[in-house]
Amino acid sequence: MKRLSPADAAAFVIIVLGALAALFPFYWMFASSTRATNDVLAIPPKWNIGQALADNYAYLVEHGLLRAAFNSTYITLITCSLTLILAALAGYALACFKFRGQGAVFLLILVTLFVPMQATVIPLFRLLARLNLLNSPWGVIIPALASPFAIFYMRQAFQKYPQELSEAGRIDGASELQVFWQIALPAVRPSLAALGVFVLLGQWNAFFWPLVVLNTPDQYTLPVALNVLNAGNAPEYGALILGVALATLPILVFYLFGQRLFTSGALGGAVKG
Amino acid sequence: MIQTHPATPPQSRRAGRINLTPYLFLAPVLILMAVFLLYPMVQSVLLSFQRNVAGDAQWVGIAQYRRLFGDSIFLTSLTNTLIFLVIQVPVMLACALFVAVHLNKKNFPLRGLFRSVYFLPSIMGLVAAGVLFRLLFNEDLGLINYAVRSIGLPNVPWINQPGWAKITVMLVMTWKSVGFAAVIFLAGLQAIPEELYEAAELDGAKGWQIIRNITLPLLKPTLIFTTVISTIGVLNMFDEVVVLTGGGPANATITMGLYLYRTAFQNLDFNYGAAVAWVMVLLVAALSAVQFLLAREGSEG
Repeated sequence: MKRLSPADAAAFVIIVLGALAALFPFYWMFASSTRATNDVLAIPPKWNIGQALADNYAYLVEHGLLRAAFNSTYITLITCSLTLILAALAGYALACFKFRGQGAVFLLILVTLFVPMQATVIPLFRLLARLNLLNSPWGVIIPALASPFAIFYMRQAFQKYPQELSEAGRIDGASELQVFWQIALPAVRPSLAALGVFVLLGQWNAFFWPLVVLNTPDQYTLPVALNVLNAGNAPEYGALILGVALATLPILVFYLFGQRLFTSGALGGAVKG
Repeated sequence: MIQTHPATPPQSRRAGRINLTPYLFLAPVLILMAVFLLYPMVQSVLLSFQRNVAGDAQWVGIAQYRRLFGDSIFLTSLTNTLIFLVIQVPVMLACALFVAVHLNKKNFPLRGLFRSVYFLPSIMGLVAAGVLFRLLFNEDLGLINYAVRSIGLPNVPWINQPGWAKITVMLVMTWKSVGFAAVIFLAGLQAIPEELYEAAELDGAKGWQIIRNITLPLLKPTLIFTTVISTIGVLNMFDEVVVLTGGGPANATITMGLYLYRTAFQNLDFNYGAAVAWVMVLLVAALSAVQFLLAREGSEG
């Protein structure tokens, strides 16, 4: 094995420092979530674990953060499962069938792939108002389902799917929906998982659209509720940080167990986008 | 378009009958896209050429767009966004490239661990990160200024002074996105065949020469991709400034995204908001197009 050159050794030191900078806010978040407000911003700083975890938690419960955590979970899980099913159906149709208008549909998806959110937000808001979907979880979920990226991603996935499998299912007398559900969908499970993580993370952390759509505390998602706590006059910092930790912990645990899914989701965009 | 039909497509049982399956499978997303994507898109173009007189839409041509150029807050938000763009994106990408090039070396210690650690900030929500950093960057009581003072330097007004507030926002964005870019670079680097490096070393090429003549040219598609993604990220900046600085002090960190939010959803001026939105859309489109064209030009040369 080659020894490190002096330049690489210097780079190693820099990269260690960078890694500490990446990690430190996580450590500080967990440590501070156990502290009382005065101990969060104390000079000299405190490094130990505090005693105020239960108090901070009680404060969050009192300020509706559990409700917000529930809303976030609900919105994220529904968005994720519906997006996956709808995008898989569409991707399967585009990749595994030949039909009139196919080129036009694919072109539409390619063009809308690059439409930024700003191009639609204002009329979308007015449309949701007319449909009575403002201040409801569905106002956040439904617009997210019209995702050209997800369709494009699933189309790419189904292009590698051996269609003889579907043909075999048809010969056995399965309906097209059964073929899709029982044969085609399980065959692209890795792509579904990577796309799922991508959608999950995006919706869990989403801020702009939930902020626009949701306007009473009982409907807030975690990022919106945290923003309100953060902007308050005299926030309880310990509790605020516990809220941040609550919003971060689930994805952190998920990342520790399924790291490859996160990076492959990121790369899916890079390699195929 | 790519040819994508390796096996025979399923034929309908009787000749001449149209197979409805693909249409049925596509129907849900097409309806959703028509109602929640295409319709609003067309509507927002129309809105930007109208004004609202007591609930009635009135055509005003490009008057809303003209208004933008006399609107000092809009111009500030445009300038801020461009400043963030030309400073943060290159600095962040350079850092990411530095990390990726080293983690790509077989003999670099703990490379797998570093890769996981550097990616970690990108999974945290921007609001969550903003809340943490607002406290860490607190002028009198924050940990960062505590560290600054402990090495004998004066307090830095991270959030309260216009120039520093811009720097703080860029630091947080960089913290958040460096690892993501590095992981993408790393994948690009791993696709470069090792023999090329070995051949270059045999020819006596040194570190920087190797990077310049092998790594960078072959990494070009990845570089363009990350540049486009980060450019779009900066042009859409919203969460981080809302939470960290609220756009202040004195609009020093107001972004176009924040200005759009205020115009459309706080002042409820939908027509003017639509004009702001379309300037953003066109900027995103133009900058992405330029970056892709540069990519093509380079790969032909």
